[in-house]
Amino acid sequence: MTLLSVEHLRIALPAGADRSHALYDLSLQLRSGECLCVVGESGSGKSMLAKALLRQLPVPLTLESGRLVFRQEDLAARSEAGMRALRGRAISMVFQEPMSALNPLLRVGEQIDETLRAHGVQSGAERRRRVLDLLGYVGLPDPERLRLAYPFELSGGQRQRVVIAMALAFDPALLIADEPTSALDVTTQAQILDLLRKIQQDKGMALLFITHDFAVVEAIADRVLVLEQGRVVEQGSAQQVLRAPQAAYTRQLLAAVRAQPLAPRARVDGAVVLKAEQLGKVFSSRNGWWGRRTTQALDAVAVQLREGETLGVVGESGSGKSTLGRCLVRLLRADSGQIQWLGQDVAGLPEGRLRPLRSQVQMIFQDPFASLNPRQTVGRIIMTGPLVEGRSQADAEQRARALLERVGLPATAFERYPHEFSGGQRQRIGIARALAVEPKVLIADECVSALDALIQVQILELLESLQRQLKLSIVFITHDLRVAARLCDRIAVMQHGQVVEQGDTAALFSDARHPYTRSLLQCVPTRGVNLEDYALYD
Amino acid sequence: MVVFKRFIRQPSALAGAVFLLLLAALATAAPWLTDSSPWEMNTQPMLAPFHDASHWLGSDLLGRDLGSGLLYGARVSLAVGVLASLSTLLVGLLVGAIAGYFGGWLDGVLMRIAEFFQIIPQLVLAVILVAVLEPSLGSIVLAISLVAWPGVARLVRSEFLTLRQREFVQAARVLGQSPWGIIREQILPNALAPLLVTMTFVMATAILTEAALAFLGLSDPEAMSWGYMINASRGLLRDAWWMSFLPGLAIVLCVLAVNRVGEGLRVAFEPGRSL
Repeated sequence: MTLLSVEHLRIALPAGADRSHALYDLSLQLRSGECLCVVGESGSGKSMLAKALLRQLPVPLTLESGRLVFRQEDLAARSEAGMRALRGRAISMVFQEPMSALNPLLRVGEQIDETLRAHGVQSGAERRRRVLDLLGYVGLPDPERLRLAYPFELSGGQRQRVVIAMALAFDPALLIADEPTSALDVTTQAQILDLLRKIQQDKGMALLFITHDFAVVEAIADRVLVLEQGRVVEQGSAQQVLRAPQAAYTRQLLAAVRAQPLAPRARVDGAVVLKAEQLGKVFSSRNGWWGRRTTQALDAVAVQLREGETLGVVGESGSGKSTLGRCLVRLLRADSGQIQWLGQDVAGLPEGRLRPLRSQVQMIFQDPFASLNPRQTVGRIIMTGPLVEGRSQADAEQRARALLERVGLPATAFERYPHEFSGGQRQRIGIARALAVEPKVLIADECVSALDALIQVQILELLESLQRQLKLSIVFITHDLRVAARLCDRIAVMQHGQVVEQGDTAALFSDARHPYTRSLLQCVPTRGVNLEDYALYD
Repeated sequence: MVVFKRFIRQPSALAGAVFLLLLAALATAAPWLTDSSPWEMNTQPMLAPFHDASHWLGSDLLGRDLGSGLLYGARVSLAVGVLASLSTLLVGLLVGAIAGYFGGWLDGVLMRIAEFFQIIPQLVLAVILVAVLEPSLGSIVLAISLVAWPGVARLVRSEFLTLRQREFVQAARVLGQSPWGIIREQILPNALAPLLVTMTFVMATAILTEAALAFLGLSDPEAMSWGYMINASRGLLRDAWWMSFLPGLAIVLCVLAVNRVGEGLRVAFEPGRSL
């Protein structure tokens, strides 16, 4: 039986937007017990669908035309109060960022209790029993104790479980999940997907799952709907869309996820350009009134990098991989150990003596929006490095223009400001800025994780070709094994501040020794890891 | 450009800016607009406004022209306002930038000094300073900026603390840019908006403080000022109310205008807020 049907939905965008409609002529049907994945890149309008269903469109936007029919009832006929009775009860929602979906000042038990009370569960004892049931049901350990915890005391995965428990408070007929796993680590992501799948089968509810990630689609979808620029380009069963995609756009997206290593290449035996030994770093923070909590962010880490080689540093959040990157580029000073840039020990050099050497090792940052100064033109941003080195204005400008061309940006970008560019273009600007001082080593910290899959591939291809032309050595820090596999010659896996395993990419994928590496590999969210998708070096 | 457009779309801010510009123009042109010094006793005392065409704002109890006094008073008020906020900016920026960028013990020391100035009642400190140093434009500006800089320094420090963590600042460090280069090119342009807004409020406070000091008799004896005019005529409030009312009104309007401009700037700088 059809639970939800959306017919010819159109949401107009205000004049001056990049296109006329956020969603254009979208129709879909969803049956009870079915999981429909809505896939698209950022800006494709996929989140607008969820907001339209709950009648929570952001202010200037309204439904232009189309019908939303839920249980044979046209939702447009419902009053605002009628919608409120529906939300959280028959239709509920799980958001991407669990920390912002929860009230930081309320214990999690109280927040679930609030939902129950808002929908008219009077008896306090009954609510309490229900809260404990729900917390237990979503697989949280010791619900009795956890009920009293504040959101900040929980891990990301636990928070998302709490949000799911809240959404399940009234056994909704339809659960809308908007990128519920994108903010989580791979292992946690796999657990949450399992949980959602299990709940859905258990309760026979319909799941509308919004995501940008085809690996997630593979793990959970019954049917798939692909959105491009607000229009449906393909709709069908998961089997059909994933195995035999019809639309060119879908094929592109799938190719981006399953891409082969860009260019298999021979082992490199160049000189060692970057080397770290016995690197240690401890962070301490105040805990309570007089206690101090210390975290061993790096524990006797040793890595080395040869000329022209790419070393992947892989780990989950909190594993110390970013700390390692920051220590290697000397944004952070390591507590112990040695770091050598081109054979010279720099771990203990004071900032003033380090500055002339800095051009050898450059960094590409994660966030393409925060990493460019919003008040400088792109040209000025790229010229910063050469000017600091003491080059003339004309020389720096010539260099910046050449680099713009090299990273695939139009020459007109020189006079424009960063906010006029998209995420991928901004990341190209960041790369040009780093290359302007002719570094030997690039340290890329999650430099593609904020980008869409298609753009990711372009940036990785750019890095690859720049590496070949300029004999660059790259330390590529990422949480995403798929991305690491595509670019890296060797991979170092980090956990709790230690490198637990290090080796050639192909060897590591086919024969992981450390249990943590194996669990990471298993968690790449596909139904059964199909390593042939990553078909590596042979 | 966008900021400017958003600014002039707010009627009160625009009115404030126009008023201040007009006042500044009148104050600059004071010697040409009036044919006498504001100290000259050139008509009958306590002349009410709108009775004599050549002294249409009336005169005070010594027969000095009130209109001319108000114009020359505007010179003092605006000069003190601008100079005091500039010197406050200079000190606050320097201290805040050093404390925020370098942090550590330097930050600790500078902020303790700032707190020392903040816990003393501001007007009392200003009164004592001007009394000790002899009243003059210089000493008044010094006293006002000495009590006002800690607020600005704290604001600059907090802006710097956030901005120095931003990735584009770290990128500049990795490129080898020197601390002063980073402060000048990367951080400061991004901290300018809140700073500018605060400066207008510092200026309003400076004008008020100057008036208060003059009212207490601590003004430059050479310069006519609004606070002095109120002080001189406060005994005759019931017989000739306009002698205190007009300079009082001038202070209120001037401070209000500066305040509106500041508020307008704040709204104009706030991104993504429709008016």
